[in-house]
Amino acid sequence: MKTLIGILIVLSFFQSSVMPLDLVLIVLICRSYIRIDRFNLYLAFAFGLLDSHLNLNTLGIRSIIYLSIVQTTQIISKSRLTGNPFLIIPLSFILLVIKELLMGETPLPKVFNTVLPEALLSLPIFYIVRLWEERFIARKDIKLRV
Amino acid sequence: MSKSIPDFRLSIVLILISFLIFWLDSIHFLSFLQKGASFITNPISFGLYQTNKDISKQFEYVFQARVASLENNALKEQLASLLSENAKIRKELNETKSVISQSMFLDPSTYNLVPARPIGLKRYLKIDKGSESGLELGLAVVFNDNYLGKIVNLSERSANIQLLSDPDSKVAAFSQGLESRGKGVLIGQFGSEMLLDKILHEEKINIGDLVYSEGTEGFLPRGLILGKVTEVLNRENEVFKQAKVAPNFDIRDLELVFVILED
Repeated sequence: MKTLIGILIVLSFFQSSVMPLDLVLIVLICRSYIRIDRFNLYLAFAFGLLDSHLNLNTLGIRSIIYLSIVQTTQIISKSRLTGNPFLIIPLSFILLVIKELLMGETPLPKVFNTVLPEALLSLPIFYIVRLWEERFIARKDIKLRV
Repeated sequence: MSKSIPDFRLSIVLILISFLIFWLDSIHFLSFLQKGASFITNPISFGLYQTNKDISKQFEYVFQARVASLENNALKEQLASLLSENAKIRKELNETKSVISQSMFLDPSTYNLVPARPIGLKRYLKIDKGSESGLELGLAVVFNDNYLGKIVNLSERSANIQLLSDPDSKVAAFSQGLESRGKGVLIGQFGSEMLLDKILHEEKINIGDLVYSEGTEGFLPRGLILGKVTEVLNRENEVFKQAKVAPNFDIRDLELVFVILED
């Protein structure tokens, strides 16, 4: 978990100063899609605050949006359709468009140009996060019978 | 509701806290916290930004070097093409100048001249015109008012010219100076020099006198320049005087020569 937090901190700085892509939100959407966990909400809240600070937004605005998106993703991930990993692309696309519209930072005609690469990027990030969660995170509820 | 939505209560609490923070920040209550946080976050953001800028510059340099290399190759090709075009234009210009210059010395209305390009020089001077252009054996070849030689070999598209310096060449000639005049036969020597032979002792001939054609051969007009006297060989025990004659120009410098056709 510490690794994930570290990566998200790096991504927060990265997206605020180098690359205009919301990588933190994509990672959060992917994680929520793979695993329903209350820790997703904590991450959404905390990194919403950090991103608001780094992007000079009013504190809390991104937390509200991130929390809403993460919660929506967790609800959708319960459905049977989510067995298909490619569903992450349209899902990310819709959620990121909503986020951009709520933030109101990008002009409407340019929203799709900004969101489309982010949505396409969500698929490789999804596989990376799934690999990480499945192979490198030890779960407490799995116990070996001796 | 709470069962269908995972961690419903927690999410509501967090959203409410977010709204509270949002309201507090809207009234600038949290500005001191933001200022404090900026002391940590700003240097990191700046460092990342600078690093990104430096890396981008390096990539841009590589990209520009590649573009410059492509441009350089294209320009080299363009330059080669222009040089080739320039050389062709210069050659054509020189040929045109030669034609104009020739028309000033031998009147085109009197002499039917055929221009030809020299394409080789060994014993004979080879030109790029032959019987297809109306050339025949024995025709005189000139440049301006200088006689170069006569055609001795002929094919359809080329001809060999026997130069004045050829050992087999013999032309009736006379020398003309301010106070001197002598008649003789101009005989080719090995090398580039010629010998004006059979000059009577009583005839005057000096170094620097120009040597002209007599025109007694039939194919050759009278008064064409053959060369210049460089040395007079005056031996009392010989029947005739002799003089060494050198051509006025180097045959290899010529762009065009002209064959005088018979009417």
